[in-house]
This record gives sequence, C-alpha cells and structure tokens, in this order.
Amino acid sequence: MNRRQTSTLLVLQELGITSNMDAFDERLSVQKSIYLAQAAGVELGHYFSWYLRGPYAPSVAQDVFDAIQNDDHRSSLEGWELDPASRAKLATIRLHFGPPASLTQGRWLELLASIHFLIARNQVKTQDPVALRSLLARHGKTYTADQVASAISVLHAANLIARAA
Amino acid sequence: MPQRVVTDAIHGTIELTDDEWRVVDTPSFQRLRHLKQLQMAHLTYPNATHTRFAHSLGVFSVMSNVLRVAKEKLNISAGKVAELRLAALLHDIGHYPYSHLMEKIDKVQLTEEFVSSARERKKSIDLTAAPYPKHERLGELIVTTRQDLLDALGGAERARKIADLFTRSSAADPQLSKLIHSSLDMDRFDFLLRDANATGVPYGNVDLHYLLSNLMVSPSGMLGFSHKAMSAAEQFLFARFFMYKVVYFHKTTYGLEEACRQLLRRCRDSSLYGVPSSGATIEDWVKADTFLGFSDGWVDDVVRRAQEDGNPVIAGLAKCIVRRQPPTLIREVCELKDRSVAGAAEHCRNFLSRCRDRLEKLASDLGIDQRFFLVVGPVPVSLEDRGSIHTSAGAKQIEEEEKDELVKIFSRGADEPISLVDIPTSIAHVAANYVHQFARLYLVTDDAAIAERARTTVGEWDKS
Repeated sequence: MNRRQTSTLLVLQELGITSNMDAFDERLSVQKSIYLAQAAGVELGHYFSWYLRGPYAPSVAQDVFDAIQNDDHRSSLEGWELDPASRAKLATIRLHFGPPASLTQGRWLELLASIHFLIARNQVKTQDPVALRSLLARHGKTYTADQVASAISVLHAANLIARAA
Repeated sequence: MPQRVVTDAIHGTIELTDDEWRVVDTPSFQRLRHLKQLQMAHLTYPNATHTRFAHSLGVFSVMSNVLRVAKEKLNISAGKVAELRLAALLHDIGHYPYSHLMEKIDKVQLTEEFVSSARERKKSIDLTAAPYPKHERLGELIVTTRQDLLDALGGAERARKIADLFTRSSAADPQLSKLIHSSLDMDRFDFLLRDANATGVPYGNVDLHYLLSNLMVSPSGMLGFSHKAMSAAEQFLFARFFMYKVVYFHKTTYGLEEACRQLLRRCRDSSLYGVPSSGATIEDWVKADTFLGFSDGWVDDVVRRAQEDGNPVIAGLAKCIVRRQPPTLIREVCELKDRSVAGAAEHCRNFLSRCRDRLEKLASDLGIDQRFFLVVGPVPVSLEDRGSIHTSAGAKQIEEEEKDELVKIFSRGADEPISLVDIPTSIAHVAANYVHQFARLYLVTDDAAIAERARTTVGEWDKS
C-alpha cells in the first residue's frame, strides 16, 4: 500500500469506521468520514466534489477498494501509526459520529458532510436550517428540520464551521 | 462574438471572444505553455512535446461545439454558456510540473517502506505536513486568488462561479458541471486525439464529429449519444483503454516517470533542492509570483542538481533521468482479471508478495542497495475509470456514486439514455467485466550482468 492508502485506512480505523465497503451505508460512511476528517484539518490529499450523495472523492473509493482487495492489507497496516495531533483532531470529531435514532450512520455523516461542503465552498450564504433543508431537498436529500438543525449544532460543536455572525 | 482566432492541429480554427482572450493572455494561463501534457512520454515518443496550453484550448473548442448542440435543449443562458466556456479553458490551470507526475508523489511506494521487514519497524505518518493538493484544488486557488485572473474574469464572484464549475463544487446546478466531468467529457475527447496525433500511435483516434452530431439531451437533462453512434462511443472507450495500455503506461516512459517520482519524494522527505516539504508550501507559492516559474523546467533543475548528491540513490535516480538511461525492467506481470471472480489478480498478487518478502535478500545477494529497485503496481486499466474495482459487485457499487460519468446511449425510441456498458448488444458490455492489470519491478543500474541475474531470480515469482 502506498502512503495515501495507509493514511486513509488509519484514519478510518481511528474513527471507528469499517472499511469493508460491502453495504451502501458503509461506503457512504467511508466517504463522508474521510471528508469530515479533512475538514477537521487531517489532510489526506483527497479532493471532494459534489456528486449525487454530496461530497465524494473517487480517489477514496479507489484507495479503499484497492486496499481491501489486497489479501494482506491488515498486516500492511501493522507498525504504522498517526501523529498525536491528527489523532486528537479525529478523536474530537468522532464524538459526533453517532447518528440520531432516526438515521443510519451513513445518512447522518452524509448530512454533516453535505452541510459542511455547502458552507465551506460558499454554495450557501446562510446557516438557516430551513434554507439548508430546502437546498438539500433539491438534491434529493430528505431530512427533517430537526435533523438539519441538529447537524448544524454538531458542526459548530466540533468547530468544523464558524457560527454565523 | 468571436474576435480572436487560433489555428490548432487537432480542431482547426478555434474562435475566442475578447473576454476569453484576456484570460489566455494572463501570466497564470501562459504558464501552461511550460507544462508538457504527457509528462515524460517525449523520451519515448520524440514528438510528444505538446503542452497543457494547447490541450486547454482544445477542450475549450470541444466545449464550444457541445454547447452549440446542447444549450437550447438544456436551457442554458448566454451568461452560463460564457462561464462554461471559461471553465473548460481553465480546467487544467492547477497542473503541477510534468502534470500528474509531481502531483502523485504521495502515492509512491519506496522499496524500504514496502518490504516485509518494514512492518517490524515502528512507523509514524505525520498528517500535520499536508500532502500535495490535487490539481483541482490548486486550480480553484489560482482562479480565485491570482490577481491577473481575477481581473481578466471580471472579479472575485465570477471567478468563484467558474472555479465551482471545473471543480464540480456547484451545488446550485449540478447539470452544468456534469458537462465538464462526465465520461463523454471534453477533456478526454481532446487528450485522446491530441496524444494520438503527437505520439503517432493511432489508437486514440475518436470519431469526434460523428459523436457530437449524434449528441442528445433527455427530458431530465441527461446527455447521451443516439443509438446510431453506439459503435463510435464503443470505440471512444476502447481508444482510452489502448492509449493507457500502450502510451501512458509504456514501460520506458513509466520507468523514467517512476524514477522521477521517487526522486522528488526522497528530496521532499529530506528537504533537498527546494522541493516543497508540504502541500501548504505549494498553496503559498500559488499566491506569489514564484508560482509562474513552477513548470517542467523547475523539476528539470532539481533533477540536474540532484545528480551530484551525496546520497547514491538520489544521485542514481537523477542520472538515469538526465542521461535518459531508463530503469531496467526486470519483470512485468500482466493479466486480464474477470471482475466476476472475487479476490485479487493472482499473478500480480503473487509477484508483489514475493517482492515484499524477497527483495531485501535479492539486493544483498546482488551487492546493491535495495532502494535501487522500483516496485510498481498493481496498476489497473479498464474501459471506464473504475479500473481498480476488480469485482462486478465492486464496479456496480461505484456506479451508484459515479454513474453520471458513464458514457450513455439513447436506445431507439427511448426518452432517457442508459449506460453503454449496460447494453447487452454492446461489446463494451462484455469488456467492462474485465480489467487489465500489471505489476512491474524496475532496477536502476547500468550493470547489465546484475540486471540479468535479477531477471533470472525473479522469473518465477508470479507462480503459485
């Protein structure tokens, strides 16, 4: 495995995200958790664009699929560890990865990552849950107003977005 | 209204407006004249010296032609048409010297980190030193922060809109950025034709005019080709496959590029010759005028100076590039993997596993430093971009997220197009189930006897 693959898998491990990619929700969680890790300042070199399910980087899918098809990918990770500063950042965002009862983890992380992307890339100029919910709905993402509001609070609490002035 | 005309070897006459010409005339855009499109392919194909500058104008030309067909059906305003043309022109503005070569140094596999004994050592990955950003990120930074482009584009707000299109960040209207990023995208049409023309390898020739004259738009806004152009679309996919296999992954070119990647990675890790230690430094460069000199010549200068380095591995890698004495290909293992069969490609897996377990001893037996071995792979090549997804199930999973990017065909009488690889009567339907894959072992040496001994030893390493 190359360094980017190793880093990507170590970050997933640190965030408690399974990398077996069998189910759609797992693949969603892999993409969105790597996005959120980079948003927290743990830069892995993946570039995210806006796809059907929000922020998505083909290189994440390629790296993780490549690695897990390699029979000895787990032993390839042996001996590697992340620097303490990155581990601390990941520990902070991991606290917020648990979904509300009404959502799967993948759908919850999709919501967090999508809202972050829209704000960080200046696609919206508001943090108003109603406006964000309506923009997400235009992209086929149906979330309740409570879920959107709760995601915005979590992004504030994790210092991933600044509070609106 | 077109005011300026450029004559291009691939597309003939390309017409630009004064606004577009102002962008071309900026120092930031002119830098693209000093980035070769095909990295080090000119060391194999002497005429392959064409640049990102010519390619960017080519993509602009294809986009202009597509918009002529699609703008009314997609109901795209004149303002958006202008933005899409500029996005096509600027889509590669963030490329590094030698294009993808330098961008990918974080994917390099150094032998001392790859071999089995490396697993026993404690290793730390320091992610506080950011990897080199992808060229899309640099492009976004360049367009939204460099004053020459901000002036030429008419201000920060418009520059942001254009960057959003070519980085596919635009959540406001995803259909528009799809025009740039789908598999029928303008980028691929141009690079296949241009690279085929420059190398003299004919496989990249695409029936562009026939495809464009059969471009259709569905009621839901999906782009695709009429069933009449199915063969031309199939040939487009095969053209890409063969160009990767024959030109982009040519054994000599790839060996020299790998030597350069490993050299730059070693220089970066040891802070030598001004190679930026992290992606943050490169992002800082972009905002300063030093960026204008960040071109192929900048890498050439690093390589030239590294020839005299006290580290024999760094000096050896540099000399093989400057003197054009490519790393010797000791062994290449190729196979065609059926995606419906689970697991990794057996021969490549066996070979890389033996390299991991045995290279240290082989280097010791040959009396050489193991770091002169360059291990490459597995490298996949397939009809679509999902080359590394080896199983049919894996390919299907990816399609859910990347399905916009597949080449689509309107079956006779159908309102909406479907993916070409899903049409049972298409040869692409069968071929998409396979992925070609290779693994290679190179050795940087000018000693033919050592190379021959290495060849003899690794000859059977792919066998079960």
